[in-house]
Amino acid sequence: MIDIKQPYIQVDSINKSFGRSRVLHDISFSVMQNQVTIIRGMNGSGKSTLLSILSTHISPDSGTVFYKGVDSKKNLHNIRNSLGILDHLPMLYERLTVKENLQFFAKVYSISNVRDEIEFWVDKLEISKYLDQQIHNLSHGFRKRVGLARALIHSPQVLLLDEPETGLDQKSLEIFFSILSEFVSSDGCVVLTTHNDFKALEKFSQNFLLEDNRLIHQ
Amino acid sequence: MKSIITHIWIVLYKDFLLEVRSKEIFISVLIFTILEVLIFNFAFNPTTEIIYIVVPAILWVSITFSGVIIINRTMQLEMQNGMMKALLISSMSRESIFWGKSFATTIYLILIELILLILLTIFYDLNLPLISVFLISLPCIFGFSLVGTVFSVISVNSRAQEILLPVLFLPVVIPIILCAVSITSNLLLNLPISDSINWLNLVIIFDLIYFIIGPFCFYAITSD
Repeated sequence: MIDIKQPYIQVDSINKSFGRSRVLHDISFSVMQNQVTIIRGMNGSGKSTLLSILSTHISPDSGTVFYKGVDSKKNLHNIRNSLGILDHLPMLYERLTVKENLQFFAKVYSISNVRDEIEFWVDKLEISKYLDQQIHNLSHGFRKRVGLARALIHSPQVLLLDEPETGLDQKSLEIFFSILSEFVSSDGCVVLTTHNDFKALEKFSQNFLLEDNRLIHQ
Repeated sequence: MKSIITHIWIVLYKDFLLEVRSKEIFISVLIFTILEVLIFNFAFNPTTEIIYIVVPAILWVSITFSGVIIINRTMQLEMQNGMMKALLISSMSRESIFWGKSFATTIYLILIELILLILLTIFYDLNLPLISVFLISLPCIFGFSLVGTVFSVISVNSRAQEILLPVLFLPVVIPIILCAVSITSNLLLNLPISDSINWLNLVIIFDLIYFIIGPFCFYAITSD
């Protein structure tokens, strides 16, 4: 029997240049539910640009990104609601506490049970005791954990992660992999860029290499 | 509509919470404002005939300079740690971000204006119609903030942000400043409000235009 399951994300022949510099050339791939898509590549190969396009932050020069079969330019509000993003930068206000940052984003995404959601994620990411600490007092690893809580607080269906393992210690990595595995198992899909091997995610993953502006399936 | 109002409130509340924590904007602008008034006080020793021309000019020059600092700083806060990107790729509408930032700037400037009015009353020994001057300046300050927010998004992305904002913004906001100076001057001269109605109408039209086109400009600037 043929599996006619629709991909959650379908990237169709996208191209992107900045000035005269071509960054992405004819990129196509699809991401199914319960799947981790790992994109590797050298620095400057266009991994972050590709994630920015998937996050709807920038538009491709040509080509289309479909979410559940819908063009990402249409229905932007719902698509953005379904995305959780963890960038190089933590996307947190330095002078607000962990709790205030999470409350802010929970309200941005119009979550009704803000307190429960915050409690759930801070417990899971083991950052409960830092709840009243301002972000500028936290180490890089803990900022990243708070960043992940921010990305997950509105229960997205897609996680876009840009080199998420950078600066994480062994303990943080374990937490990170366990959350990702759980997320993917519960019908989520993940697109992440990295330089590393993620053995813990092997059973869910498809791997690509971005080289010379093109995407190569590995 | 309800979600837009809620989101405007969230942006506004977050800006004030950040300010309460850092005290970066209000304290520095307050000191700057006091110094401005002190310098003007030493520079001019206006006679009673020209005091009603000089004081509105001092008031609005001070508000303009303080406003440029406030507008620049409030937008810079969003540029740290990729916060603007986080807001733009969230489900929050860009109108909410624009209006939230504009309202925050308006409230800062209202507070600065109140302090300025008190300082001017003391330094120039004036019998200012404080409430009338304050109320009539609200639409001027609001228009100033709307225009400022549009241009701050352009300037904050450039390397020469501190220089670029006044260069781009002040020529556009000059009509509001001219109207504000004329209205304040008329009030100090105890002229009837009907003498200022044309200026006031001009400010309200300006506010309406920027209230409507501001979010579109913001959208265009923040889209790649």
